[in-house]
Amino acid sequence: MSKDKPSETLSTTALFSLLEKSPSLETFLDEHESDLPAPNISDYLSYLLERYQLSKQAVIRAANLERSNGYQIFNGYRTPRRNALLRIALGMHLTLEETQYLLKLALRGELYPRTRRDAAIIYCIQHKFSLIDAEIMLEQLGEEILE
Amino acid sequence: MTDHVLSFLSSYQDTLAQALPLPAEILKDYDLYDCLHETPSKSTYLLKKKADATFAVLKIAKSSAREHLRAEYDILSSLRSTRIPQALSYSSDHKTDYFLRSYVAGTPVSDQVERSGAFPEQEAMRLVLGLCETLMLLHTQSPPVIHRDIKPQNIIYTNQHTLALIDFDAARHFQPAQKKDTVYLGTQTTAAPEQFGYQQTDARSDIYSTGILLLFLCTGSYELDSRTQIQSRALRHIIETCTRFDPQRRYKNIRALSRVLNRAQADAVPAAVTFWRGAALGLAAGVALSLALVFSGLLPARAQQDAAGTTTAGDALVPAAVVAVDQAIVFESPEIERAVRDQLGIDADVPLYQADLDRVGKLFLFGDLVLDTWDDVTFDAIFRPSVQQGTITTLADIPKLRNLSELAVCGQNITDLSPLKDMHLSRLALCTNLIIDPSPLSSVPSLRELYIGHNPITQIDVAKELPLLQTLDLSTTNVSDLSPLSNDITSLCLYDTPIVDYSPLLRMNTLQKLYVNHPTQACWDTLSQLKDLTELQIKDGVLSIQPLLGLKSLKNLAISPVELTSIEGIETLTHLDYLRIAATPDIDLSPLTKMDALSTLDIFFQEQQDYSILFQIPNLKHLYCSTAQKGLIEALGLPITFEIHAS
Repeated sequence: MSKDKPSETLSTTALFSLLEKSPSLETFLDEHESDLPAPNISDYLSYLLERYQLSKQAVIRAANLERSNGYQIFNGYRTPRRNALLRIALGMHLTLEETQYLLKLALRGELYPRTRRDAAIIYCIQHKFSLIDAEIMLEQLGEEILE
Repeated sequence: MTDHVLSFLSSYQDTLAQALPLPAEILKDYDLYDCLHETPSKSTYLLKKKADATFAVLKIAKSSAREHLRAEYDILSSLRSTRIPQALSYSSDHKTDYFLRSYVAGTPVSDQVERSGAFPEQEAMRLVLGLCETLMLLHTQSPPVIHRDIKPQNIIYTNQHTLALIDFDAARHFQPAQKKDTVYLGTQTTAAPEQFGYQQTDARSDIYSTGILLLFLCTGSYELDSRTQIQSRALRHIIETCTRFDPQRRYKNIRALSRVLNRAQADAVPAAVTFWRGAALGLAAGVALSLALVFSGLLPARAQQDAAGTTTAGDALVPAAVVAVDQAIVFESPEIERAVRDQLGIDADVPLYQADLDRVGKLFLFGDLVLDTWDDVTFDAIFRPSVQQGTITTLADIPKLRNLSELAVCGQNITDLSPLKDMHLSRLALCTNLIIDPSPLSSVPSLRELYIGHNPITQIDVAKELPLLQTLDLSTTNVSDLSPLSNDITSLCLYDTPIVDYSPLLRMNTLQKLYVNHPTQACWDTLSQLKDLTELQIKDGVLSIQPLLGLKSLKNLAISPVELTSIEGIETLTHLDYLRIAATPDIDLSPLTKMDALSTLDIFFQEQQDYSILFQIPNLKHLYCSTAQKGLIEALGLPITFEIHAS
């Protein structure tokens, strides 16, 4: 992307994919600082849907979200709660980094590896558990499930 | 799955052990179980006793935080109550202090409310009365202990359904000599103003935070404005008194607060079933799952306690609001469906469920527009009732919106009001429809405002059944008899009605706002006696303002259009703040220059050759006019001291 193009031609999705291709975050920031809009959860979710070739519907089902609530999250009408984001992360099989970024965008505390429940969720994400398996694991550990 | 659980537990134990080397005397008896909170200088861990698998809480502090930890230990070790943690031990090495205290099983109130919604008011009062006993114990120590950080995050809703106070981090012994506290401690939204440093905190700072806690328990919000949602007037008053800025104007001690809470609790009638916000079904499902696991022996001890707690909480708190929410709602009117979806932000291809509809409190349809506010509705209802025409023929969908309190369905083809029976509406606008019979509204006794103008109704007998009705629009109807209206009407629109006898207006002691046109002699006779009227809009066939000059309370007057030849004497209406005038062109406007209270003038329909007189109105702030008038006014070249709003 050449610098002299007007910045409004860069969509958030385009920026996310440039970020993917950049050798480091610093390089990316150096080159694109002026193009960066305020980050937004629904844009990031759209980027992830495209990246993993998933439909909203499929993710809403896999994350076992109430349908209208799910659509409101994906369309940016409401900021999801932490548990809802974690269900989406598990439903989409996101990486730990993607999950943390999603939580950070939504201003919902990132997963903290020294907290027992968070550590268990990190384990589930790293082992690509489904939502159901993650919830069974949490139940067995006596931790609150992701409702 | 068991393999995964074991593998996780072992790696997690390693993580904790590496992060937190514990003193030998603690490691001897306890295993690390969970990290509850961590900052660079302070952390809180949950430990499990090797001997009996019970829990304890370990608080760790480094550097300057050590002093606070020691103070917390000193305070807790001198107190005995089942509703605060017990100090177990205190130890320190060269740079870290360790304080071990008992674990209080339950859920922080903040989480409990987030998960299950606010508490019913009665229950909130009972819980806070219990907390007051604990605070009384603290405040009657010598010297008194001030907790200073009473907030939902620091209060545990125990498995016995009581409130326990934890985290005495900010607690201090009150020292009478001190003028103000040296350090700020506490939490921004729940802390009393004096905790920000200008005055020493005392027991009344805890009273402030207890008021905020009550508000949070009942509404789920920390915003003082949300107290209007609280039904019990006594409870609202208690919260207001607790949270006054000046500590001297709050309850003077916890005993006084306890006393008023006790009385309010005794007086409160059992609340009507409060709609249980949040996931009633979700909670029930969680309980079922937990129970299944308890019976199958899968849950460890702490979780069993929690599950048991949740079960009773569920029983106590989930009322009959559990309905079949899994059935998609089908609408009869696509226009109403569209407006509801619009409001909820739910796409047309997603089914709507009852739980979605229960979130709709207001719905304003005017022709084919969806309006945002009730003010927009009432403006259009009075000033442009026919601007839009829609195609809705039935209100059959409206009762599905069970929590609706404000509704406008104007400019449609509605004839039948019976679907509205037994709804809890406070504001209703049905202008410009085909309604003949308003009588079904008799079963909507909650109505405060009713706009039913531009309908072929001939009588308003139903008003007798509406004890709360204050605002009524009857414009362009065939209603000729005002006798059914109660004395409590405050606002009445009678444009284009065939009313003969206006005398019922005389017994409406609180009438403030009136709209009339084509005033008959009978109308003038009545009008001139309405001494308390503050707002009058009068139009058509107004030849003289003389009959109005006795209405000394008037603040807001609109006269239109054009027959009027003089406004002489208007200056005697000394409270008049707003005036809209549309008289014959070039009348003498000089009386306006004697009106000190006049701040807003609308001359859109008042044509003059010379507008220079406007510059002599002493306190004019806003002038509404046409762009042509604005040009003429500016061309005068005089210094303009008011704002011109031209359209």
